[in-house]
Amino acid sequence: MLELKAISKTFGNRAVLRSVSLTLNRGQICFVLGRSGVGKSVLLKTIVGLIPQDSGEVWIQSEKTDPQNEEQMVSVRQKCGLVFQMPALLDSLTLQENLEFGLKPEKLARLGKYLDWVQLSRERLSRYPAEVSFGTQKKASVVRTLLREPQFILFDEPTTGLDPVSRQVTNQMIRNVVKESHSGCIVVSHDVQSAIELASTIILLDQGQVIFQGTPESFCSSEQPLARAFCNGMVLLDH
Amino acid sequence: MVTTCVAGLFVGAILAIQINLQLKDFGAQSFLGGLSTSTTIRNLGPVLIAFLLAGRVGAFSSAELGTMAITDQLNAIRCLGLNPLSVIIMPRLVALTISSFLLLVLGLGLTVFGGIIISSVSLKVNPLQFISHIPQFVSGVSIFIGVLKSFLFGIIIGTISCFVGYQTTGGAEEVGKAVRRTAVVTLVSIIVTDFLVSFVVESISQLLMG
Repeated sequence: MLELKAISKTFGNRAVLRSVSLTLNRGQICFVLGRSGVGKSVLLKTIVGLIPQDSGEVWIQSEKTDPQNEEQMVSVRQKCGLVFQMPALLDSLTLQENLEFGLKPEKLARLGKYLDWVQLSRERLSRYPAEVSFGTQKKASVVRTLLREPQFILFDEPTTGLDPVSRQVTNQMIRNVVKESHSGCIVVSHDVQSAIELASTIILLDQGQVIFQGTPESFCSSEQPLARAFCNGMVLLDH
Repeated sequence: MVTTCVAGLFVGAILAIQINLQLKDFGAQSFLGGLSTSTTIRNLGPVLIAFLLAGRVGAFSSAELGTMAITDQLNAIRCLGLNPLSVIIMPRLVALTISSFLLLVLGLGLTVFGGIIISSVSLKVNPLQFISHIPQFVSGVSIFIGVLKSFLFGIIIGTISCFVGYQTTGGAEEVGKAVRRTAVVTLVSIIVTDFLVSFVVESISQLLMG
C-alpha cells in the first residue's frame, strides 16, 4: 500500500501542497486532476523524494520514507517508479541503451511485451532521442520504467502532447500495468475522460488542497464547482 | 586534441619570442632554448593550456550536465533506483581529469616544439643549439612541477565543471549562468593553484638549499 499522510510543501511564500492525504493499494488507479500549477507534479516528486515535503509522511509498503536518506530513497524508487511529463531520456544514448541503462539483463526478457503495450517498434530503438518524435520518446520513457517492474507507478501527464490514438494506447497500457503486473498507479493528468474511464479513485486538487476525492461516478455527479467545470469541459470537448 | 596541439605550439612560440627580446639585449640568445623551455614547462605552459581546456572541455561538460539536470534526466536516473553521482558524475569526473591531464602533458610537450620552430624559422637560433641548452635549465624538478600542475589543473577542470553542472536548477538561463560560473571559478582556481604550487615548491627549494 502507498499512503500519503497530510503532506505539505511550500516554495517561498507559496503553499503548493496543503495537508494532502491519499491511500493507494496495488491494482488500483488513482487519477489526480487539477488546473496547471496546483501542485500535482510536486506531489509525485514528493512521493519519490525528489522534492522533500515540509511536513507529513509517505509510507510505501508499511515503510516510512525519509527523503534525506538517499540510500533508502534508492530502494523506495525501485518500488515506486516515476514517468516524467517530459521523456527525460539520456540524450547521448540510443533508445535501446536508455532502456538498458542500469537494468539487470534478466529484466530485458519482457521488453517485447512492454514495447507491444505502448506500440513502439523495435526498429526505432537504435535511434537517439533527438532523432525520434516526442511521442516515441514518451513511449520509450514509459517502457524504461515498466522494465523495472515497480510495485507502484506514478505517471506525470502521460497523455499530454500525444495524438488521440496514442492516448488510447497509453490508457490501454495503464490498464495492462494494473491487470498483469498488479501495480498501483497514480496518474496526474488534465484528461478527465481518461480519468473517468480508468480511475478507481479521482482526486481533485485546487490551491494545494484536496477538494474532491471519490469514484469517477461521484466525480461526475459532484456539486463541487471545479469538479463540475472539469466534467462540463469534458462534455463540451465531446460535442 | 587539436585545440591543445595548436595552443601548445603557439604558447611555446610566443614565449620564445618574448624571452628572445630580453636575451638579445645581453647577447645571450644561446640560452633561449633553456630559458624559454624552463619558463614554459614550469609556469605559463600548463596555465595557458589549462585555460583553453577549461573553456572547451569544462564549459562543455558543465553545459551538458546542466541541461541534463534541468530536463529531469538526472532525476530520471534517480527514479530508476540509481545514484547519478555514481553512474554519471563520477565516471565523467575521472574521465575528464585523466583526459585533461593527458592533454596538458601533450600540450606541454608541444610547447617545446613551438619554441624550436619559431627560434629556427624567425629568431635565427640553431635548433640544435636551442635543444642543447635545455638540460642546463630544465631539471627533473621542473618537469615534475609541470606535470604536477597539469594533474592538479585536470582535477580542477573536471571537478568544477561536474559540480557546477550537477547543481544547476531552473531553465536555459541557469545553464548559461552555470557555464559562466564554471569558467570563472575554474580560471581563478587555476591561477591560485599555480601560485600555491610555485610558492610551495620555491619555499621547499630554498629550505633544501640553504
